[in-house]
This record gives sequence, structure tokens and C-alpha cells, in this order.
Amino acid sequence: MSKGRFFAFVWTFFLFLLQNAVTYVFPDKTPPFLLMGVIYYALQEGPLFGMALGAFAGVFLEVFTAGALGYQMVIFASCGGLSGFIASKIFRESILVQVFLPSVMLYFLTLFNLLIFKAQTGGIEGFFALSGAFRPWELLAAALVSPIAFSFLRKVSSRSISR
Amino acid sequence: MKPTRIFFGLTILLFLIVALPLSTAVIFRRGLSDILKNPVLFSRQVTQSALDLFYFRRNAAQAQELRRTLSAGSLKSFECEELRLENERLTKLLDLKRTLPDSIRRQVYCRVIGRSPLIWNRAFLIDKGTEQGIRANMAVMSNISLVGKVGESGPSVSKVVLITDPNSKIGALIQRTRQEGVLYGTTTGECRMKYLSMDTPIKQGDKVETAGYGGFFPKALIVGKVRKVWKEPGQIYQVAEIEPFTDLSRIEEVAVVQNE
Repeated sequence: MSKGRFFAFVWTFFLFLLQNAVTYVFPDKTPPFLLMGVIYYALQEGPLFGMALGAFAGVFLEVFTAGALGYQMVIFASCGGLSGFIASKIFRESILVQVFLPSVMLYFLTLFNLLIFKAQTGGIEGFFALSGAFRPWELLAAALVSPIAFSFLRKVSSRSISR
Repeated sequence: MKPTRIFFGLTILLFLIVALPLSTAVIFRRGLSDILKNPVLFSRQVTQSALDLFYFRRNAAQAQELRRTLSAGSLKSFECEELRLENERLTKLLDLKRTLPDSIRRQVYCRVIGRSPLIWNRAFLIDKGTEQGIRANMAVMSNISLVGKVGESGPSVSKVVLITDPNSKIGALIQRTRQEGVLYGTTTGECRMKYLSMDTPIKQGDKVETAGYGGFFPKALIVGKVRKVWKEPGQIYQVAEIEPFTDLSRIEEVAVVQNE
């Protein structure tokens, strides 16, 4: 494994800790730093690495969930894989990509989680999952913070590799 | 190695993990919680220190205010002690079975070390586990009211599922009318109570407490108050939205009530 890829895992773990720390300050509106990390590295390294990193990031979130294991890993791996796949179709350095991609992925991440919850318990309607996953404040927070997070990751990643 | 092989290998691995039995999932989560405990605790402490520095002036004023309240409260505590002793004497006299068993007074105080970053999921990790006697399904309280229950417990870390989590379901009753229902969380982070009879008038502000059925939860732990009531379309019962007495997004310490 290259040095850059190794540090991608290290920074992903750091983003998990950062996200956990920020929940104490903004409990309901914490930007999804972990997801942003997965998307950033998937855009840089491609779909396979995005999938692997997404699965790694999902492991941390498994601690907070109940029931069967692995759903967060699958969902995050899908987000990573998808982001890596579309990296070749879009201009990944574009500010629009940095603003909208994490928000779109966050919407799908929430939607899949709600659908899994529905499948497990039958607790909510399918249509509700579509609307329930739309959380304007969280999506807005993701859109606003993601360019900063991407810029931070770009800087630390290049430094990590040059050392 | 060919990318397609890696892709299929990773996909198969993930689906095998999903297919793991629940007992294995619990063991895995316990181990993972223990591994993550220290880094997560560290990140929490860093944030706490930063917040303490940021709110230094406010905290100093608050400390002064608390000292004043404490000195005023010490007088009240004498009165409370008198009332408690009187209550104890009268209970013995009437030979009533105590509503709250003695054992529930055994509490383990824990710090919140990690919160779920998932939007739809309301859970947090606490820094105590089976080594301190914490088991799954024990009630978790703030200094005022019930906040949730222990979902899973590892040797030194436990996961608390809040009353607003969609996986939480607790037997409860309206204190004034003694009307029973089920307290549950929604995916939008609200706490509701359903199966409330249509015949019982429920008012805004009615207090809600645990029913104590099933033996998991102690009886009469206060939860919150009714914010609004409505009839679900097509159902024969009322649903009430409950406002928890504790701000669930700002909990830092909790007490796990040992009811065994």
C-alpha cells in the first residue's frame, strides 16, 4: 500500500474522532466529516479504494447501531465506490462537486438507513423515508463545510506523502 | 490483483459480515467499543477543555450562582430529610409495598464519551460496562428524568439507546389518568406515546412515567410531559408527543439504574 493510501485510513480515523468531538458543540447539526473524508479519498483514488475506505469508516459507526452488523459498512462502502466511480465523469476539483456531492451522499446515506430500519421493523412508510431523509439543516451544514474539509484533506494528504 | 476480483472480494466480504448472526455482532461491537473507548474519550476531553476555555467567564458566573443556590438548598435538604423519614414511618405503618424497590437506588454514574454521528440514530456510549455491573435493558437517567436504556454493554463501555431513538420502546403511563401506552422514538428524533385510549382525555402538560411492566424497568421513573395529542388516521387510539424533561442532546453524565 502506498504511503498516501495508508494516511487516508489514518485521516479517516481522525475525522471520526473530529466528528465525535464536534457533536458536543453542535449536537444535532454536526457535519458528516467521516463521509466527507470517504468521498474526498474516493474522488482521488478511485472506486475500489473508495469502497475499502468506506467499509473501514463504516466500522466505527457500527458501534452506535443495533441489530445486524455491517449495514453501515455496506452503505459507506457504496458511497465510497459511487464517489470513486463518478470521479472519472466529473471535474472533481470543481467547487460545485465539493459543495453538492457530500450533501447528495448524505441524503442517500440517511435514506438507506431509514429503508433498512423500515425493512427491519416496518416502522415507517417508504414515502416517509424519502421525505424523512431530507433534513435541510444537516444537508446545508454538509454543503457549507465540505469545501473546507476537502481543502484541509488536500493539504494534509500532500504533506503526509511528502514526508 | 485484478480490480474486478478485488471488487467482488470486497462485496462478498461485506455481505458475509451482514449475514453474521446477532450474537456475533454483539461480541464484535463490544470488542470494538472497548478498542475505541480511549481515543473517543480523548476527543471528548479535548472538546470539553476547549469549551471550558471558551465559556470561562460564563462558567465562573455559573459557579458563583451555584454556590449561592447550594447554601440556600442546604436548609431545604433538612426539611426533605424530615419528610423522607416521616414517609418511611408511614409506609411501614400502612404496610404498603413500596413502589420503588430498594435496589433501584443503586446507581452507577457514567460519563458520556461518544455520540452517534448518524442523523437518524439517537445513541451514545458511556464509560462503564459489565465490570461495573451494567447490563443490557437497564434504565438510564439524567439528574431529572429517564433518558433511555442500555442497549448493549461491553466490559468497560456500554451503548445507551435514547428514548427518542426509533429502536426504543418502553411501557409508560400518563401520571394523572394512569392511562398506559408505549413510549417510542421516531426517525426524526421525537418521543411519542401510542395506544392511548380514545376515552381518556389527555391534556397538554400531563406528566409521563414508566409503567414498570415486564420487570426490565423500575416503575414510576419520570420521563417527560405531553406536548400535544392527536388521533392517528385509521387507528382507534390516540398518540401523544412527549417532551422529555432532559435536553437529550446535551447530556454529559448519566446514572444507570441497577434494577436487579
